[in-house]
Amino acid sequence: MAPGVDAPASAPASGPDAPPRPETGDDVIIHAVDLRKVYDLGAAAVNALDGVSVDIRRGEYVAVMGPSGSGKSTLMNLIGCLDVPSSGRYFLRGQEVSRLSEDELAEIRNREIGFVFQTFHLLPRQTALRNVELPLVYAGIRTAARRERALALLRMVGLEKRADHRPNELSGGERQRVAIARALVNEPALLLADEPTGNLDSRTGAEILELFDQLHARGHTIILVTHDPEVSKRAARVVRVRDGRLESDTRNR
Amino acid sequence: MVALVEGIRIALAAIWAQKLRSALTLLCVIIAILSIIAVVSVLDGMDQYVREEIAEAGTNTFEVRRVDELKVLTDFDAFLKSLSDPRITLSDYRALRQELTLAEYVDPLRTIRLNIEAVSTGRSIRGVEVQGRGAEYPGVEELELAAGEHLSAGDVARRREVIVLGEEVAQTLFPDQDPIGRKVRIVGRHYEVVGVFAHRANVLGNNRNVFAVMPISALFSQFGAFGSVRVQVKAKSLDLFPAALEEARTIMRVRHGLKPRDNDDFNITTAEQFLTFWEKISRGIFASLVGVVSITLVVGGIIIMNVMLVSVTERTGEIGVRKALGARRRAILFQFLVESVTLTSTGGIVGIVGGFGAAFLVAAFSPLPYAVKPWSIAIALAIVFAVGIFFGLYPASRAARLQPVEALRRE
Repeated sequence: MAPGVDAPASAPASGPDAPPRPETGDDVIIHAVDLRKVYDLGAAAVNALDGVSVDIRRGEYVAVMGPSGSGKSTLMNLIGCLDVPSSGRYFLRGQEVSRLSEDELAEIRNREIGFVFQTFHLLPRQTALRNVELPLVYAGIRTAARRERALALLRMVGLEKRADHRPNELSGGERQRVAIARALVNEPALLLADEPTGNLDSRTGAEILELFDQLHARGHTIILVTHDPEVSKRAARVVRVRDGRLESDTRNR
Repeated sequence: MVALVEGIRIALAAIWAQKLRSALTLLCVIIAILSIIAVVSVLDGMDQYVREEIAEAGTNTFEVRRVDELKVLTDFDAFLKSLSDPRITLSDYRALRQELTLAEYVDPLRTIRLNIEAVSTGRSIRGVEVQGRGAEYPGVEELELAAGEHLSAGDVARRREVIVLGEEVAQTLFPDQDPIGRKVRIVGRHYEVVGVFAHRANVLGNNRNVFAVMPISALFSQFGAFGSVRVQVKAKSLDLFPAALEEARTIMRVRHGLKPRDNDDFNITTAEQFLTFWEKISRGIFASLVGVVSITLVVGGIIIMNVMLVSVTERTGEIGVRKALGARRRAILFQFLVESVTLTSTGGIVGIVGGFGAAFLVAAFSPLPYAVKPWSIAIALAIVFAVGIFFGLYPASRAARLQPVEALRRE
């Protein structure tokens, strides 16, 4: 129940025992200070996020938990640079992004963040390969290089044989693998997964979580939003959000 | 460049995925472009045709006549008035023949529709345009002979009952005989065939081979000197043409006893007038084409704008995903603009192909030449581009302005 009690000791998961919060340290990927988000709904203003500060380091695997309406989606939108805070400061890899324009945010999302959504959000008319290529298109990479890179990522998630299939020809688990390949294709600093197993049966979900474990083991930084305690057990660190504030920030094991 | 190819590919896939909807959407654009190509081709074909005809008639000929039928369209009051003007008689012709110093040839013309029957074969042809003429007609109008000879001055002076037949008349009356020297009967009187004209090309579906020429003196002696004659004049040279025309007018005014302030009570028509008239008509047709095409394109453009707005709404989620993956506003704007321009260009290309087809059909079923103009294709393409951008801009900017969070939530 104590917001802002983000003990420095709870932060490092893999790195050496780091001192509290370096402002621009190389291994601090996310440094958020007192983030607030107010939605103006005509008469009433709603405080969706009411002063959240959090640091996440390179290579961490963090689960964000909270009931619906807790503000965790708002927090994810801010961390994912899909939205800007009403007040507070947010540094992504040392760069302040809380005051950037929409196009600058788009560029940050393209370079630094890989999204994995609950409903996959693949483009339905495009093949798996072209879906994976999409972030590279917006990064302005040429066709040949794009193909090669996208195929490599599909191979990594074990779907190189399905490259020419459209999403409706793939199973749910396969779709989510394509989405993960797409999220990683531009080598982002951060993998941001919003209920990635929410639309999958438990066995397929477990496979996807297995994949996240592998990615974590390879050094990827992962933030995973979930309401499922079983899922959150996979993460090294669990951040709980309630009523727009941090409720707790604990380390597993 | 990458984005452009990508955009066109996406747009074509979207068009292809909704074939019927795309076809209906593009109907107006297709019709507009088709009409541009086809009408421009037809107008140009008619223009070529008119100019050829005038060149054939000779640019330095004019005609003195009582009624100018062209005035039905250009000056109806003058037309009505001219109906009560005095007839132009053979003596007017003789005066012009004698007094015109700047004319090379002067020839009278009076036509009646008559039935002609071949005495030897018993075959007949109805409603032939029989022209009573003088001996100088080969000088004022291009009339080639296929056989025999033209009327001579002696034929005209002595009212000889001789006749020169148009190609089709000769073939109908004498299918397997040489017509020269044979007799034809016209209302009980016999005429000897002295010549046959060469084939003349059809004009706008008008058969110009069903006619015959006889001495105007013979025509008048059989049918009476009623009605007005036309006097065809060829000036000595193109330079002298205006002076010759003025000279003819003066002669006619003196003969009709007109005072200086009186209007002419006769008409002098030139190929030039016809050309001017044609240019006026074709300009009118072109102006109405521009009007009709503009309205069609505005309607078509609004339809396209609507379809694009629907498309933006349907694909809100896709826009959100693209933005989440790093698409900037401009990339989304560009994507939807490329899509609407690809849409209109597809319609434009279908319209151009259809226009070629229409022009081809016109050429196949009329004497007009096949004349699709390259500039009309260029204009058509420019128009579909402009329509695509203009009417695609609003939907595209709506798409570009969508907030990624909102767009993702709405799927």
